[in-house]
Amino acid sequence: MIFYVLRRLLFLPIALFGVSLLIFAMIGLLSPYQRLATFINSPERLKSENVDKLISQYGLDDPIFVQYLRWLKNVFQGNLGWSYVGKGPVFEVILERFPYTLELTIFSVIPIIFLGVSLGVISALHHNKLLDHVLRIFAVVGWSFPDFVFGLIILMVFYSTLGLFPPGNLSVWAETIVKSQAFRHITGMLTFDSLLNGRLDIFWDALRHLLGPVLTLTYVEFAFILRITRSSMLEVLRKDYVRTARAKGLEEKVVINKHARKNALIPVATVSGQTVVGLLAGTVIVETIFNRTGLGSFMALAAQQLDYASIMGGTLFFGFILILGNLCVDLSYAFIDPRVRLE
Amino acid sequence: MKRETRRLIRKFFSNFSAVLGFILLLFFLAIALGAPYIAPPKSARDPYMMPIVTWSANPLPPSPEHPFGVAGKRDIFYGVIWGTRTAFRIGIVVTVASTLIGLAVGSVAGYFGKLVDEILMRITDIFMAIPFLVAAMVLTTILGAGLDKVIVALVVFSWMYSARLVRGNILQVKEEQFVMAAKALGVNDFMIILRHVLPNSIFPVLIQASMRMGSLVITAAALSFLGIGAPQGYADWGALLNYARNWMLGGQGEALRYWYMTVFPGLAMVLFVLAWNLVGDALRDIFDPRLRM
Repeated sequence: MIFYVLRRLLFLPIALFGVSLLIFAMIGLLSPYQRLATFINSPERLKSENVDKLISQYGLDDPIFVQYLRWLKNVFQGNLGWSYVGKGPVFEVILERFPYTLELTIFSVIPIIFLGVSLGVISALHHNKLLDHVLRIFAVVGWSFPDFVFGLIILMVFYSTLGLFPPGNLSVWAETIVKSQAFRHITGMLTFDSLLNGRLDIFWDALRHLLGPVLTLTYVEFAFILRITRSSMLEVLRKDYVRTARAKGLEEKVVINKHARKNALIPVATVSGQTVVGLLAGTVIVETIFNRTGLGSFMALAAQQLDYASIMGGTLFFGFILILGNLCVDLSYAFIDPRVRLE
Repeated sequence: MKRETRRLIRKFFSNFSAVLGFILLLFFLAIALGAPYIAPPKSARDPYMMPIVTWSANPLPPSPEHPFGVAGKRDIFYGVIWGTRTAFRIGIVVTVASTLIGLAVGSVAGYFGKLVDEILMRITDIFMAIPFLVAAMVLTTILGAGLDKVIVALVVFSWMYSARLVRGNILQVKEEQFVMAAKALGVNDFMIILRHVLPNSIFPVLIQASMRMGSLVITAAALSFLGIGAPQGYADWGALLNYARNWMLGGQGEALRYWYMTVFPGLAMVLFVLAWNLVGDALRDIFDPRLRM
């Protein structure tokens, strides 16, 4: 077990190294002129200075592996470069933006799991009856909804027409307070920080802004949990120990709640972990549509503008989260289900 | 085998959601094939480019002339119809190409095992450590706008799933007696993989591919939606939704006046993805009863 964890952890730096090579190779497909554009922030500079001189000044005409080694050396010195999109050092920008994405993930995963599990159990208990069919159709339609289509509909109906679920992170008045000196930033997540600062009004405002993206992610993602819960519940209900429990005259409610559901939730736990990991890296579209600050919208901007320091830093950070997250999911699986052996 | 095939086909068509998905797919296929008749291109130019029908940037509501309305100066009906072809093209080309690459990598890794397996699987892990949409976004931007670029980017970052699946299946099949028998008879490795191992692990791969079709089409449309996929004016559902984006933020019910910009291309996307999901789900039910939903 310990050996397994060590092996997986040892792979982490290797994987990140591989990811950086891969991204750098892709960026190498661009000509030095295209890459120079990300370093230039005013058109005047292009007029006044010689473009070729600028390229050699930034070392953009060196062989690609020399450029890679230079980047690597900087990384080891703790310097991921300057983010033009985030207007700050890449590492700082990522650390500042990640809490927003984490917050969105936390608030989305609660309804996703709650809805998925409860509807999944209901669906299994009404196996092949009307309710089961209705729930399955509801789920498969949600699963087929691209998040940007559902997000646009939410904006159209709830924001524009009913005035609910506003886009963005905060209203303007709340934003000024949050940016002021008096507001202490502890977690970087607006809802938690506002509670810690004792500002219920800001908490409510932040929550209001979270509703649209949370609703979108919930409807698009809960189907997967429902499907797993349902099939696992159906399987467990056929097990001998459930029959025994019924045979010894236990109430149906006790059989379902105590004997069946507990065991049926084992695979659901793993899938929920995967959902959390997937959400952390999968909020690009939702954050963009709802104009939210976060790692996802940051990556969308960085990719569109080919801000390659940000792209490198962002993908490395995502890789770090995905690998570590998946390791945690596998470990929790072995922890919940003792039959699973990790090798 | 023939009898078995007939039984499976019967089983497929006795499944309500499978039939529904299949009919939807046929419907979309008919639209894609009949596009030149349903929405005849006005000029001899590339029919995949939506023609500009008005000079005003404001969207126009549905009218007899433009049944789905006008968005971004272009006819939504034309875009939805020709966008069906785009969706099929992306979905099929990417799925086939990435599945073939996955088959090759997975079977080599699974069959030879040891160091080859270790190296190939770690490379697979590295490709999987970048979120799919982010990776596709970066590569598409680097390659530039265009449908072929989108396809390349999606293939580069989607072969890993079938590679893993094939490898796992091959590890199982490898221990079967018929493979050992073939080995004992002196059949070479390549022939064993091609003739004995792959046919026995091909169905899960096909099912997985059909289930991935929906998410691939969504990702491709998401790229166009972000403005980095299809070139300006290309008939693509995601690009049509991109026109709708800014109009959906109008206050006091403004956005509801432009409902057609979101609803028609959105409906096409949802139904298309739904069709593939229903068919993939049914196929999985039939071939793998353990995973029945």
